[in-house]
Amino acid sequence: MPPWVGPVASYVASGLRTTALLALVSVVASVVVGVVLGTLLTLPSRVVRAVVRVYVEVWRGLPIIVILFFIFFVLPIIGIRVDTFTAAAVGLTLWGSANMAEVVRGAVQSVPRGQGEAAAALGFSWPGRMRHVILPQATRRVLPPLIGLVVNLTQQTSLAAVIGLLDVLEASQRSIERLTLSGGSTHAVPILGAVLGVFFVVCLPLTMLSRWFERRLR
Amino acid sequence: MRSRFAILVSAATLLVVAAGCSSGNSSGSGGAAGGETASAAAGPVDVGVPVPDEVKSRGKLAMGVKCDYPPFGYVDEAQKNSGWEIDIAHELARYAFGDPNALALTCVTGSNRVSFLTSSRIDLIEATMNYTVERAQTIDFTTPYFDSGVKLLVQKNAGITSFDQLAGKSVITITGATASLWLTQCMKDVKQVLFTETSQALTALSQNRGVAFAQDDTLLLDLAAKNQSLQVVGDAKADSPWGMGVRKGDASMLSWVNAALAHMQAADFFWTRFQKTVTDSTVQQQFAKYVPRPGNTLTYPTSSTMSC
Amino acid sequence: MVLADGYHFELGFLFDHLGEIGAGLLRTLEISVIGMAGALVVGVALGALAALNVPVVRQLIAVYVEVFRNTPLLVQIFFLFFALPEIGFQLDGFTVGWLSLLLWGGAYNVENFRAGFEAVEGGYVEACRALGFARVAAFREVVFPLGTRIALPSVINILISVFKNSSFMVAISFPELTETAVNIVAVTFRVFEMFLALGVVYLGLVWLLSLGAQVVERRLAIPGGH
Repeated sequence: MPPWVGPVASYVASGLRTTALLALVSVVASVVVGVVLGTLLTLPSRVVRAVVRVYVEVWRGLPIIVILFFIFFVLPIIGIRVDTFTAAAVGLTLWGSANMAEVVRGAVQSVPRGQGEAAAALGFSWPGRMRHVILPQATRRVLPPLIGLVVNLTQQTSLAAVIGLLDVLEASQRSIERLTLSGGSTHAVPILGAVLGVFFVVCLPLTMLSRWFERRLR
Repeated sequence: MRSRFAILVSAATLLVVAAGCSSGNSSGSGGAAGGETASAAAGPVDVGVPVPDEVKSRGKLAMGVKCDYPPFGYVDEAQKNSGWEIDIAHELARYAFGDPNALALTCVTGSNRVSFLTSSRIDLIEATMNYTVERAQTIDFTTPYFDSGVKLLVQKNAGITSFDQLAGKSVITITGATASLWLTQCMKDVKQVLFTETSQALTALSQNRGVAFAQDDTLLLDLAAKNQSLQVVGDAKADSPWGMGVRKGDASMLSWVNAALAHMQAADFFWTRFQKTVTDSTVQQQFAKYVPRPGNTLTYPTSSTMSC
Repeated sequence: MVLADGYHFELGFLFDHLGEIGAGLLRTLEISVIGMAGALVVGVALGALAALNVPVVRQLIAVYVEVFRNTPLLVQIFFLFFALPEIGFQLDGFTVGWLSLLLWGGAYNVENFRAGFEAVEGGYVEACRALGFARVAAFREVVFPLGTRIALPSVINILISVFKNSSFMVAISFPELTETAVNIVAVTFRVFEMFLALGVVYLGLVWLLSLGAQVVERRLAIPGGH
């Protein structure tokens, strides 16, 4: 094993821990907030829908990099300063929850209208219809795209490197930096290849799970 | 179905709580405050001016330093910040708290160092920053502590020996660096290929993405020493002293840092550390006049440093 | 307007850099358009091949799709620009720009189109076969037109993502819009105004794209719904 591998591997591994934690926090927060917002988007009230719609359009419309830069560099100027990890988590959650809301809305609205109408004919109120008829069916339909979004969000954590969070990508970049400046070769292929490999190994099972759910749905 | 939902929701809540408990301390946006283990003095050193409140309340000196600029600010194999500027940083921390490791170092680049300062993520920039009139409009500069000019790093067989030969060609530069500012102002026909990190620029040069890498002579000499196929050419442009940066109007910080720098100069701290950092005696002599020593004080130029 | 720490808010400097911002926007549009078009073509072509279940080709397509869907786009970009030269392929910033977007968007679109084709109800295909259509002809006349329109919403979603992901090119310092904004901040230090303006521009463009998408979806919708 070449001598450069040891220090690089341990440094990148510590970055991986940060990535895992960021992914966990962002995913959970996005799912929770997204489910709430997505359900709100199906309410009869136009005002509620409009407010949530603005949130969704803004945080889905902006590139995540711009959101991260804004939270990290701009908010402190008006007094809101958070550390790098929190900035990354908040930024990813804003984006993730907006997308999750869309996914949930789509799932709820894909339940055939006949179901809701039949339930209404049987005397269910709107909350009752949602709880006993619509949401259970929507949950099955939401799983494939939800898992897809989880995979996507896990990958998007790598963007936190642009605000300097020491995640797996930033750690590998700094290792390549150190190796380059100390006069040797960059070893970019094996290092970046390893990062790609780690993400692949983590995300592939989740993608397969999503596809399995999708097949069960049909 | 309902119970499954309930389990999902409670599991999610537990995870959020657990993650929240453990995510509190993982803000790692900088190298560890390490380097040489300086002997901890008995207590803080009085430099004649009180330590600013913002520094005292942090408990550490929050500084932005370079992590890609050997031998002044870089990261060694043990992932520790090292270099001449880092030594100065440790000394500043020792003056403030009596502990040279009371430092929170953040890696900054030419493009984001001021943003880090204005967003109060750091209180002091010590990042190989040349004084320019334009920069002085946004931040306040301390007394100078070194100097550099812009030169070119080229491949030995490329045939480039001066700035005039760059006309109409691609030149690699670093975003926000003095070299980039000077080229933008004085050689508009040069196509700048910008990068944020030195290693990216160096790799780009070896891949012939540009005919030269324009940066501070202090950095280029170190890179050329480690790469036999590269050499430094050109006469120094935009020669200007380095200063540390504080937020505009932060008078308490400015006066404390200036007093601390004066204290270091009187103790000949800069030269002692410089000799340990730059061991080549010819290079030492070349830069000796830029190191503050008793009897050798640097000053900022009164006119613009960006003359073509 | 003075904000915290004595920062003065003013938008005037934007006009000094209008040319630079315009050039950055142009480059964003260039790599986005090529990336979007390429992702569309790749998605349709490979998605059709995958749905037709051609033996070896299907596995190869699956490998391509899984690799590019299960790894982060940012790392893919770094790899294409900084690592490939080490094994002999040197691509410039512009090429990496549209190529990375094309490969990423294409992989997602292959899945979207394939799902669209497979969602065409079996009854239609059976009817075709009963009428004597060959398998490929059935695909061409029935499955393809219906499947592409079923896939349309998710495909358009990916294409808009391709546009937003053009901002990832800051990683290789390719001077598209976001990188241009970062460079301007590096020189003028006007971080608040610049990123605010940047956000507004992106939201505006995405909104326009979404409007266009809605028009396209409405015109191409399958009559009677699916």
